[in-house]
This record gives sequence, structure tokens and C-alpha cells, in this order.
Amino acid sequence: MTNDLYFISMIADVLGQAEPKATLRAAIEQIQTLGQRPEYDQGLLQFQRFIAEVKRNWERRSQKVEDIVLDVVRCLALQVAADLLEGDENETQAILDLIGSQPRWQEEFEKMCGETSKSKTAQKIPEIIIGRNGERISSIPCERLPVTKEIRNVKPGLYSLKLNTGRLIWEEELTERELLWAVAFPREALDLAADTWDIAARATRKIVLLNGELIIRVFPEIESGHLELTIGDSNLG
Amino acid sequence: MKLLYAIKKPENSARGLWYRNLSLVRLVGKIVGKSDRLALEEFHNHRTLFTYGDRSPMLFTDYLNELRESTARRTWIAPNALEVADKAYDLTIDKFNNLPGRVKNKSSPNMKRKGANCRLYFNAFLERVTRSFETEPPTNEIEEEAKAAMIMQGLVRRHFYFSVLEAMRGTNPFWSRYYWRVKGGTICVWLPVSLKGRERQTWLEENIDVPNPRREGERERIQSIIYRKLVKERFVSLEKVGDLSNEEKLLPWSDSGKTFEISLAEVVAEEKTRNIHRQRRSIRALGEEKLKRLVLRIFDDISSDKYEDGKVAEDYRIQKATFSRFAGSKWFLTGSTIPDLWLNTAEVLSTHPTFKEVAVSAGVWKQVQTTLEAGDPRCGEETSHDQ
Repeated sequence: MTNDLYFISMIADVLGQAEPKATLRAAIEQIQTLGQRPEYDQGLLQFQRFIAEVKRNWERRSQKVEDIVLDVVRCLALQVAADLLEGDENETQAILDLIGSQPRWQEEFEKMCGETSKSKTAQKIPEIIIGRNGERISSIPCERLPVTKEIRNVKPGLYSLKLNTGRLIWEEELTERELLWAVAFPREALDLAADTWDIAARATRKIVLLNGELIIRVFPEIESGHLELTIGDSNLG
Repeated sequence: MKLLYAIKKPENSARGLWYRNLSLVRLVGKIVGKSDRLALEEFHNHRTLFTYGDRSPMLFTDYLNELRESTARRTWIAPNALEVADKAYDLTIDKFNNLPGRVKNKSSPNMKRKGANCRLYFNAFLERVTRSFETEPPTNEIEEEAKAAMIMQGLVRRHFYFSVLEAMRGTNPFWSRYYWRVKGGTICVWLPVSLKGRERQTWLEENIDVPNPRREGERERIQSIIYRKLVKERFVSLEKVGDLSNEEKLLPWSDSGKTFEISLAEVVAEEKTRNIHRQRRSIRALGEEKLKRLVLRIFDDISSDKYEDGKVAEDYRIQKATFSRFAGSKWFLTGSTIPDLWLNTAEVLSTHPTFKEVAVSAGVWKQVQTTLEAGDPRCGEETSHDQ
């Protein structure tokens, strides 16, 4: 008598039948009943161990299926989080419903949305950056136009204006001839010019850029000059 | 990770300054229309069009690096998130940097060029800009530049995430590309490898409404429908995935219960012979036919209640100890691991559509769980078999 493997024969016998469900259940019950008898002690323990192995295999297989499903859900979640389905609201809603069906998926999806949204932030306010000899010295946000800004203490050097997008608008050397009154207007005393309010009109340079959207005026003073930048007032051009 | 090796720092020449002065739209126009490498260098080396979170404006590669790191941090996206992120970074670099040279050999004008062509991606930018400016024209050049930068960031961002999807699929053995010829065009989609040949076209025709190869974003729309439907239908099941190792392949009774009248002995014998290369050396030496007969004999002996390990071992000229490890009848009290044949039988039974259901309803499944949780050291332990 093969008592130690009695369960193998009982299972094998019923699986060969056309409708194994009911007979299989009866066989398992019988395996357990027989297992109560001393001669089937070892057989019952081996049966339990055998079932544990079946269970472990089943779980391993199920896990693989779940992994594949999860892969698909991840792809869908990424498409929605990164706005790759623009314009298809029905599809997006269907995916959101699917993701929402599992709290774990929903939680991870929300984290993913938080992460991808950081990459969405685009430059909303244009800015003009003023540089001297390659160093940034000032900037002008162009949020509300027109805007005027004065840059004081302008000494000779290589000056540049560029947009915060990296586009260079202007780059030029400003010299003493443009920045120092005594050099620019050697025959006119500064104090006299100041008395007549002439100084404001005595720009040494007027530079018109971007079709008149940006105007730079260069004014000379005693030890250094100043720049006046006007943006977005095309009437001044 | 790739480097932008093709891009070198331009000299601060008058020509370089001329490029630096160009609006983004004109600069990109040079890349698209003239394949202008200096324009491409200007784009990559000077244009800080991109922002990430609250960071300062940055160059294309810096932005891409932020995206790469962010993706690598999100391990839920893929267990191999770092690999996927690196791959996506490389793919996106190619999309926006690869400027194929002119074909020198005019005798072979159809010669295929390798890799992406950045002009196509930059052209998509120009098309978007044109549409956007037609709808809402910018009031001045400064606004035009800012709007163009936003559009460029959106485009690069989208293409990075498309690359992430591409990398995820590329590293997944369960999916393969399919070029669906439909309505005079071709749409490249990913399908489970289990769908083969004509099934692919049929499935797409039945499940995708109004496909249009010329519609923008059509590929991703279709791909998302594929994913959603496959998940919903649980179509992506292990049994249907064809690209699995032998041990994972479909077993006779696991396909919708049509073939119940197959004996356990037959199935196990089949399984054993199919995996004969994985058997112990002395078992392997029997050859496929003899091994099959051995397995059937063992099951037959057990069923007819005359199973004796020693007798079968002798008949097949297998050493007793070897046979004991292969199909011994006593293993629990001797502290041995489960013999190979019973491990295989358990594996085969785990694929049976009814067995689990019955075992659960009979309380055996739970009983085993209790035994496992009680810490029976011999229950559910890892066993090495088929070596």
C-alpha cells in the first residue's frame, strides 16, 4: 500500500474524469479523512507539504500576471500624468477610472503627477538680463509694459542685453566717450548743463532694438555714466 | 549616457554672434530648412529656454537631465527606473541633436539613415508655433520669444516622456512592435507578444475606432486604448504570453477547461520530457522516451497501489539514492526536500483551473497557510530541483 503517496493517486484519478470539480472535492475530503488514520500520518503531512508547493507555484504565476498588468497601468498613468493624451478627454477619463480602481495605483499616480508637473513649469515672465564683461549686473522683468529702468554707475566695458531664453539682443563696448561727460562734451561744463536741465537731453547714444520695442539711452556723467532702458513703449522709438 | 559630442562651443566670432541674435523661431527655421549645424550648436549651447520647478532657466541638456533624474527617482514607473531613465535621456538627445548629413552617394538615394532626425522634431515645433501665433499673435518680439520657449519646453517634455514609454516597452519582453497598415498609412504600436500574425490586425480592427494615421497623437491614442482594453479584459495573461521559458508555457488544461480528460500522469510526463535538459544527469541519461515511460510507470504503480521505490529504480537501473531524490515516496519524516517529480506535479497542478478553487473551498488552502505561518520549517521551503 502506497500510503505515503495516497493523495497522488486520488488526485490523479479524478483529474482524468470529464467533470472533475465535484469528484475532486470529494477526493480532497477523503484525503483529509483518511489522513486522520495513523497509517496515513506521513502521507497527510506530505499532502500538506505538496499543497503548499501547489500554492506557492500558483502565487508565483499570479504575481507574474499582476506584474504585467501593473506594467500596462504604469504606461497609462505616465501618459496621463505627462499630458501625452492631449485632446482626448474620454480616453483620459477611462484611464483615470482604471487607476482609481486600486488605491495603490491612485497613490503612485498622484506622486507621479507631482513629479512630472515640475517639468511643466515654463518661463512665464520674460526677462531682460543686463551684463557687463560677461557678468550679470541687473535684470528687468517684462511683466507689465511699458517699463523703464535706469542702470547707474556704468563704467567703460563690454555691455550686453539678452533675454532670459538666451537670445542675445545687443552687445557692444561702451567707452569713456559715451559715459564720461568731460570726454563726451569737452567744451561744456556739467554744472552749466545741469542748470539749464539740458543734461537729460544729452544722451551720447540712443540704441533702438527689436523694432523699437527696446530703446537704450546712454548718458554721460562725471565719473561714470548711466543707461536708461525703455521696453515696450514703441511711441518713444 | 550619451554626450552631445557633436556640439562644440562656437567661437565668439561675428558669425557666432549673428546666430546668438536670431529669434528662436528663425534659429529653428535654419535647423529645419538648411540643416544648419551652427544654428543647432547655438540652440544647445546658449538657449536657456527651459525651467524645472523653481530653478533658473537652463539649457536643453540640463533640463533633460532633470527629467532623467526625476524619472529615475520614481521607481513605480518601472522596477528598472534608472535604466529606463537613462535610455529615455539618450533617445531624446537623439531626437533633438541628430542632424543627419547629406547623402554623398547619389547612386543610392534610398539608403536609410540611422537614428532620429532632429529636423522632424524641430519642424513640429515650427508647426506648433505657427498655429499658436495664428490663434493668439504675440504683441512684441519679447512676448514672441517667451511663447516660443514655452512651446519648445512642452515639445521636449512630451518627447522625453514618449521616450520613457518607449524605453519601458523596449525593456519589457511581453511586448513587441507592430506596424499597423491602415487607411493608406502605417501606425507603429506595441502589442503583447501573445498576439501573433493575423490576430494582431484583427484585434486592432475590432477594438480601435476610426483610426487615422494622419491625425496628430494618433499613435499614443491607440496605444492607450490597447493598454486599457488589455488590462480590462485581462487579456495580458501569463498563459497567453508566448515569449516565456518552457516551464511557463501553456499546459493542456489551463486553456478554458476544454481538455479536462487528460491524465495528470500524461501531463507531468510530457512536462518532464520537455524539460529533460534540466533533469539530474542520471535521469537525463535515460533519454526522452524512457523518461516518459518511467513517469507513467510511477503514476501507474501508485494508482494500482503497488508502488515500490526500490523496484522501479532497479527496473530502470537508477541508483536508489538518485531515484529517491527523483520520485521517493517518503520525504517528510526523513527531512528530505520534496522529490523532483512531486515538485513538478505540484507545479502542473497549480495551473489547473479548478484545483485551486476546490482546494480553497475544501479548506485545504487555508490549512496550508496556517501551517506555513506556524513556521513548519519543512513546509514551503525553497527546494532545488531539476538540477
